[in-house]
Amino acid sequence: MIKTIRRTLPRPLFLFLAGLILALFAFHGLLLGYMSGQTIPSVLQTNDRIEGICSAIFALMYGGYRVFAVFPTFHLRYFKWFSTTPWRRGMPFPHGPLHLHLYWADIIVPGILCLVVWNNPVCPPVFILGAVLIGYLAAYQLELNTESRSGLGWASAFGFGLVLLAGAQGMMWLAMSTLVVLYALTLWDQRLTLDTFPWKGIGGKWDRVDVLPKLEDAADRSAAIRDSKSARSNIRTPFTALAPKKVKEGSIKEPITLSLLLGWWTYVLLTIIDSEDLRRASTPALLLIVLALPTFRFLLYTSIGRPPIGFWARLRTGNITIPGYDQIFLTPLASVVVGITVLWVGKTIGLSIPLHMASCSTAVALCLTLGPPSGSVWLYTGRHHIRWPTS
Amino acid sequence: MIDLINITQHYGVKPVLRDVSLSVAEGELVGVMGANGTGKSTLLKVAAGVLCPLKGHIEIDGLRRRSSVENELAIRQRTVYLAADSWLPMRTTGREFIIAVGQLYSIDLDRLIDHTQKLIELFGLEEKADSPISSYSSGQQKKVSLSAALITETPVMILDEPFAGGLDPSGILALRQVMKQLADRADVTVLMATPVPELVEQIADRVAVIHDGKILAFDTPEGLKRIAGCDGSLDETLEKLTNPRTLERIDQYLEGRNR
Repeated sequence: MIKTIRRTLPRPLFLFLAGLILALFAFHGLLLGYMSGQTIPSVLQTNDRIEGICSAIFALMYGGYRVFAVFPTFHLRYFKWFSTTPWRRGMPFPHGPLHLHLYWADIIVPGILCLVVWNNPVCPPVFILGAVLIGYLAAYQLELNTESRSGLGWASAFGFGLVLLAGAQGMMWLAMSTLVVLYALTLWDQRLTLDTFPWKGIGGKWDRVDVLPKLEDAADRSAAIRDSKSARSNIRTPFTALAPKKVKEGSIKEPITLSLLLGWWTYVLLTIIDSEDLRRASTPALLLIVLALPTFRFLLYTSIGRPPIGFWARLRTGNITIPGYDQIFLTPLASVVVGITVLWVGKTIGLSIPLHMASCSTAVALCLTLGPPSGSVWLYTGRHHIRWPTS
Repeated sequence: MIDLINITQHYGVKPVLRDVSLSVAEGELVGVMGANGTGKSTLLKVAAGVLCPLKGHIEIDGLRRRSSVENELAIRQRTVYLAADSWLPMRTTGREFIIAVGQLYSIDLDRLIDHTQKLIELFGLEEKADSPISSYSSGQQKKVSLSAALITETPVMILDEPFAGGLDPSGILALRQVMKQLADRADVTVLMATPVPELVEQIADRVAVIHDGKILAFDTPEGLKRIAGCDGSLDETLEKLTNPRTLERIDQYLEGRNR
C-alpha cells in the first residue's frame, strides 16, 4: 500500500513546495490584512480567495501530472526502452503511477486540498475535484489523443465550456456531470489507445519532440527522422520548400466544428461575466479579436508565398490585378462583410450580447475556414514566389 | 522533359526574362550559360517553381506547373532543384540531412542509407559526416548540398552552379563524373547553370546562351561554334555570341601593353 502511494504521488520535494506555498500565502494574507488594519472578516475573505485559487491551481497541476508522469513526453530514452517491453493494457506502468486511469491512491492529494478548502466559500471542495479532472482531461488531450479519434478532443473542448458556464451559474451538478461523462469517454479512449501499444515508430505519438539531438548513433537518427514529422519539418531548407509534401485536406466537419467551438466559447465567456457593464465594455475588444481573424488568415497565406511583383511594380507595369495571387484577399474581405452583416442583423432582431457575438464569431470563422483557396491549393497552385530559406 | 514557354519575369519593374522559351528533351543535359546578371539563376528558379513568372508557364514531363495540386505534387516528386546558395540546417549532421532529404522524396530507407554512405565516400566527407554542418568548410557544405540533391534520385534535376561554391579539385572531378553518367542516362533530364565553359563542353548535350533576359542561342557546343563562326574554345564562342567586341578589346589592350 505504502509502495503504491509512493509511486502515485509526485516527488516529495514538489509536495513540500506546494504545501509551503499554500502556507506562505495563508500567512502572507493574514499578515497583510493585520498590518493594513483590515477587519478580521475582511482579512479572512481575502485569505479564502488566495487559498482557493492556489488550491485549485495545485489540483489542476495534479491532474496534469497524473497523465504526464505515466507518459513522460520528454523522456525519450525511457519511452524507447518501454516500446521494446511486452507491456500490455492492464499491466502496471514501470515509471510513475501504476495506471493511466485514476485509482484509489489518487484520493490523497485532492483529499488534502479538499480539507484545506473545506469551509472555503470561494473554492468549495467540489471545485478541487473538478480542477483535478480538468487538469487530467486537458493533459490527456495533449498527450494521448489521436487524430483518428479527434471526436474526444472536440467533446472536451465543448465540455470544458459547459463546465465553466454551469460552474459560474451555480449548477455544480451539471458541471460535475459533464466532467464525469468526459472522464468516462476518456477511459474508453484509453482502452482503444493502449490496446494498440506498442505504437508505430520510435517516436510514436511523440512527434512534436525534436529527437534529432537526443539519439546517439546514425542508424537511430535515421530511424528517428523517418518517424518524426517534426524532425522533417525542422529541416527548413530549399529542399523542404520544394519537397512533394502531401497536405492533409480535412473534411468539411472540422472547419464547421471549429467555428461552432469559437462561437460557443465566445458565448460562454460573455455569459459568465457578472456585470452587464463589464460585458458591454468587453464586447468591442472581442469584436476586434474576431475581426482580426481575417488578417491572421491573410498573414498565414502570405507567409507561404510572396507576390510576384510589388504594389508599385503593379502600377508601373500595368499588371494591376494578378488573379492567381489576389485570390487570397477575397475570403478575408468576405468574412469581414459577413461579420458586419451578422452584427447588424443581430442588432436588428435584438439578440442578447453573448448570442450576438457568438453568432458573429461563428459566421466569421466559418467564412475563413471554408472560404477558398484551401491551404494546399494555395501552396501548390497559387501564383506566388515561394518564401525561400536564405543563408 | 522541361518546357519553359514564353516566360516573362520581372524583379519589380526590371525585366529579367523576356518571353523566354526553352525545351529540354528527356534524357538531355542542357547547360545554361551567360554573363553575370543575365537571368540564368532566375530562369532556373522559374523552372524549379520557386518563382512564379508574370507571364508564361512551365511544363515538366508534360505536366503544367501549378495547374492543380495533383500535378504540382507529381512534378515535385520527380524534380529536384539545387540552389546556388543552398541553405543548410547548421545543427544537423551532414548524414542526417542527406537522409532526411531522401525521406522527403520517399526513398526506401535501406537504399537511402547505402546511397548516403556512397555519396559521403564519393565526396570524401567520411570524417565530417557525423558532425554538425556548422563545422564544415564552404566546400564541404557544397558537397552536402550536392549529395542532398543526388540522393533524391529524381529524373529531373535543375542545378544552379553545381560546380561553384568552393569545391576542391577532387570534388569537381567526382561531380563531373557523376554528371557525365547522368548525361548518358536516357531517363534523367538535367538543366544546369554554370559559368565554367570547359565543364559544360565536356558534359552538356546542348547549351543555352542567355543574354539580356533572352535566349541568344541554343545548340550543341559544336553547333554554337558554327553559329558564332568560331573554331576556338567554348569560352571564346560564348564571348563572340554575347559580347563580340570583348575579344577585340582584349587584343587592343594587350597590344598596347606590349608596345
